Amino acid sequence: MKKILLVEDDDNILMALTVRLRAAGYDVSVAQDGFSGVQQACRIKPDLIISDISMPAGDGFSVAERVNTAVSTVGTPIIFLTAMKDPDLYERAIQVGAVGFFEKPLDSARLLLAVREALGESA
Amino acid sequence: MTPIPSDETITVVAIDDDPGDLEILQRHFEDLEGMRVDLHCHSEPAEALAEMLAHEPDCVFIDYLLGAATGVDIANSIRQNGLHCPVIIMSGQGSEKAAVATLHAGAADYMIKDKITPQGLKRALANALEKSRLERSVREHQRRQEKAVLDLTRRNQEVQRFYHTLSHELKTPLAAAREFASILLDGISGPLNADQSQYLGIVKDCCDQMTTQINDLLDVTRLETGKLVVDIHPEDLGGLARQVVRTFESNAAEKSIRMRCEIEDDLPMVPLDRVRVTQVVSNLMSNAFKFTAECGWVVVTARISPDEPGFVEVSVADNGRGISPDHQAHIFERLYQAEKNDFYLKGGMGLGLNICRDLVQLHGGTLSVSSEVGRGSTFTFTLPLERASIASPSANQLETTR
Repeated sequence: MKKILLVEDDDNILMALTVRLRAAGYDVSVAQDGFSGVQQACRIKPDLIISDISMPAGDGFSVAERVNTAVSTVGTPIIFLTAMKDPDLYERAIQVGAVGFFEKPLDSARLLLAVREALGESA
Repeated sequence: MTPIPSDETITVVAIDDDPGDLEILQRHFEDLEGMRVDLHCHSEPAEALAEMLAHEPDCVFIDYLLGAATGVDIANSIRQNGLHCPVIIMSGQGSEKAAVATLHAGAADYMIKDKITPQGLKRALANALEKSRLERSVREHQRRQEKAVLDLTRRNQEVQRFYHTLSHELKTPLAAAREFASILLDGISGPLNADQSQYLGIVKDCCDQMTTQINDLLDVTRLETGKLVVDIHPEDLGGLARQVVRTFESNAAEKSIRMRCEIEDDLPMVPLDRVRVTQVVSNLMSNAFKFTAECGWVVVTARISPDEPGFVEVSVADNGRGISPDHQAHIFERLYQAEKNDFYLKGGMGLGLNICRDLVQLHGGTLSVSSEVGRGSTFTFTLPLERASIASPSANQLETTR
């Protein structure tokens, strides 16, 4: 079973996405801030990280940067989520090597498609 | 001219290296009728300046020739020290060159020593004081205006930041609500009956409407502050229009509205911001659907503009209820809909068409409407085929901050 690490500070979105991803057959781990996201990533070595951008204790970009500099997690694909409407965020997401970028509210069908693609499962 | 009130003492500094000339001046000042002058005489410019910096006088009289320096040099150094009191230059011989230099240096007046009379002195002094008073009020006015601009800019930034935070705070719970509704709809937590599906579908639609409105609010503030920038690349306009039309297929089926897309063959690539033009077409389409009754029709057309050379035009036409001429004149105005609170206009904050108009203008095009009540409406926007005709950002800002 493919492992996905979900980093999101909002309890409700975290729960909704966990339900959605588990229903799609993934092993989902969660973290609620950037710092524990990085810790969790090093521990479980996920196949994919889905992370919110603005969070306490380290934003989504810092998660991407840290994960990509740690030997055990380097190259982990990351998909960003944000409720902010700011074209600069998209630019930065591309710069840190994101494989997906989604504005909230999420289109879960599109998100699942991006997840499958990032995990090399595209039908 | 405002007469100088006689009960006020006017402080005057006189600088002249000739003690005789200073004495004559002093005598003239004593003879001034209706003016009390407190005269401070100096032969050393540096000493005079030091005193003036301690107490700015109402007026300064300076000899044109003061050893190595000229009266103009002294006048300049008075200004450089931040003093604004009027300066009157006195000269032994009337020379045109000196007079011109004096006035260029911003002196209030130029007087020839031999011709100074108490009356002339009084007039020159009164003129200089009045001129200085006016200059002071202009400076004060300017200072107030600069402060007002600064305050407004700061307020604007605060509002902008507030909207950003607000949008984030609103969208986060909205995203969760929508996601849970769609989890239920997708049957992830068990099968639903037809009613349950329908109701949850409504919940999801309502979340989407709120998202659109939050995004509109953000767009308006960004258009207003000139922060919305279009990212323009050559695009397939016909393909874009077809794609938007496809997203309305389910709406069309639901209301039995016939939908047609007429794209002219060989339409050239058009320089545009794909996201923003998609937004404009979607907005016009959703208005068309909103105001068209069941079994009506909506037609989207894209073609080379027959009226405006060098432009393409896209129109969204419907056979809905139409818009009365009174309303037509105002529908592109910001918040018109909200202001009117009219049943006729049916919901929304009245931002959509205003945003569409501004977005089209940012591309260098125009958005217009033709409509007849009971027969339908056609919204048409144009886009230039060449980027050169795109409005400059400053022009746009003027337009949108009106």
